[in-house]
Amino acid sequence: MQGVSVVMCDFSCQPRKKVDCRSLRKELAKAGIQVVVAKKPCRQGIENLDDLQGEKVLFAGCPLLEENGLYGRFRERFSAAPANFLDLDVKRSILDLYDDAKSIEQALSRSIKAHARILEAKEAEATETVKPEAKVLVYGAGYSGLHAAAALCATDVSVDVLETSGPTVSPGCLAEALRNRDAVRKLRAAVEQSQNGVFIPHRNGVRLSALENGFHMRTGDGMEALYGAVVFAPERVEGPCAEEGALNLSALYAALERRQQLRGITAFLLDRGRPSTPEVVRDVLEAAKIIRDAHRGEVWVLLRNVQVSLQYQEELYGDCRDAGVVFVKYREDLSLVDDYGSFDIAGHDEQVHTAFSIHPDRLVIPQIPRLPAEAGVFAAALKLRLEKDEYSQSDSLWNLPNDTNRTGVFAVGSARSGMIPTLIRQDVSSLVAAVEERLDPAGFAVEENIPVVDADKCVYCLTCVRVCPFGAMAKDPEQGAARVIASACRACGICVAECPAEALEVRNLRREALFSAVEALAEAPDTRPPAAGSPAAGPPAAAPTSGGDS
Amino acid sequence: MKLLLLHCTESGQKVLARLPQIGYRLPSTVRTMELKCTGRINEELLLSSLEDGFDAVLVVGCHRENCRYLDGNLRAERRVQRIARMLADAGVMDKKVDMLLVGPDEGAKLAARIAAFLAPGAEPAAGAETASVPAQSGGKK
Repeated sequence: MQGVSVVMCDFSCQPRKKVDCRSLRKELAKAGIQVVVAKKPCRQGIENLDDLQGEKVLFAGCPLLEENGLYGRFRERFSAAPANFLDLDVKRSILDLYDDAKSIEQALSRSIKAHARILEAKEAEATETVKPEAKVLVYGAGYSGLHAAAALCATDVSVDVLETSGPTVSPGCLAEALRNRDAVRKLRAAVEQSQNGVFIPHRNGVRLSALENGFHMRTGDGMEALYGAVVFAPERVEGPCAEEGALNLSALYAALERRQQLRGITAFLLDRGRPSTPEVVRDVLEAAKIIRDAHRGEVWVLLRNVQVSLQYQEELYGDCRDAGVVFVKYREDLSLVDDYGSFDIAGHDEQVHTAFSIHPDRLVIPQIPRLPAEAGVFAAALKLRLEKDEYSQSDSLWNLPNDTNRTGVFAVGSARSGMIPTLIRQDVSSLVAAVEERLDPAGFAVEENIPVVDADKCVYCLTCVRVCPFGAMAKDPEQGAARVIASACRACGICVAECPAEALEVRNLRREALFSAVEALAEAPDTRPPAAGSPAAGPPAAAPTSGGDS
Repeated sequence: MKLLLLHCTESGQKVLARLPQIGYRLPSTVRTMELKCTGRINEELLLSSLEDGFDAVLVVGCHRENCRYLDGNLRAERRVQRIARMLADAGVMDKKVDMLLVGPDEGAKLAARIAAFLAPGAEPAAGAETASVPAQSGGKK
């Protein structure tokens, strides 16, 4: 209670009930509180305000002080810190006990002690921080994972890279990797040469568990490590084509990589079944351009819908058209006849209203790239929410670029929302900033109003673990109850509403408080007639006591 | 008719703060309560509010795919629909629960819904009509 001063009236207007503040002052002095007793402040004001010390000032007096504007003047005097005026509670409690001078002293003393408790609790809450672990785990040693690892190593963050067995480049960056053939090798060398990067083989399963300040990983080899943040950067895999003899995009790029000559007619068949994703379209256009320019082959791109505005691809479309790539917008009635590995395609071009028929030397049908199974398992362990097409984050209003639903897990590259070379570079630079912020040795603050678990009531049904959108609930087998991971919790209260055993309570708004607040709202009288349309219902103040018509 | 507005801290709070700007005043029988997310609302809370004497409960949450807590609004919507169905099945005609998904700039939409609640079957109240004109200028700000 350092830094608190009390200014109080001596109540000299009522001689028999004059407050003897000596004992009070003595008691408060022990706690380091300065007490100023003003003589008739309502008439004379307080002259010696300059002597007042401390950041917080408590005023105690009768309603006259408010009526003659003294409180207002005090507020002006201490305008630098208006939040520090604690007068009202004290005043109210004093007014309740105005008859008895002794009880005024007791009330004041009680109020001050209560304030002290509130302030201490607030300070304790405000300083509740979690100190993170210092290391970062990067999942995936592919194009995007290595980009992230190299950038993090360069900023003196200690990085472990978990090597996965999937491909090193996923559709979207195939052309980029082809242009810059040893990009992956160079990035890997950069990580290996720096002092901070270590590669860990992904073997025999990896077990992850969430801790308060990060993640604990145990590999099948028995290696254990603690991480403050995880970067989720797996590469996607393109499945094989259903049509035997047709190539998928990865196979075509492998052929380009081998510098195989691709003469004759190459046909790309897009939007089969469902629209192709933008990153696939990008690689198709890039491949079409390469085949047309370098191999002088004839290229047809058959598609359903030309979405040129997607991800800056207008220019690429223009280049392809200039290079002589034929674009055909086919109708649903496209016929694809598989004649032992050679295809006959016939259909109707919607744009120029003519029928077409081609017999390509090779047919490329790009597949929708999917997360590999082991990456899916890893994401599930992290409680990552995979959205449409298994992206861990579509562009959300609420998320910063790399954020996922789980605090402390960041997504980069094809795990995030599409694989685009420029996007990866942007992502990596924002990732470095995000990780640095997360690993700040000073720790990060946690939400104030996180739920608490009543272990006696908890029946360990783990409903909260399933419903938490942020993966902030975990099992606690020792207690036989659920556990809140405060560093991941965003205090939405969804688990409180879902808990069938009512074992979860939000700290600042317990169930009874909420229900009684609703009841109080229902019972509050209408303060004005509806027709008068008097005071405007301003924005309701803090929940839950605000009435709509206060 | 007593109406309880349960709204969230995000869109719900913002749209309520906007009501005075578009010239709409909450009728005196409307009470508001703020929760961090409408996902906090469960059947128990809805039913107990009706039991406490409210004739209707309107839950005001964010639009789909716009919830800060990913799907809190959809959880609330499911529960509200469930309670509405239960009330209809039980033949309770004088109590209503409903959910409104709004954006922060859709004050007029909220005003119209409140008016529809308070005067079922009647023309939208005067407040809602006056609200709709300045709402457009408010939305462009």
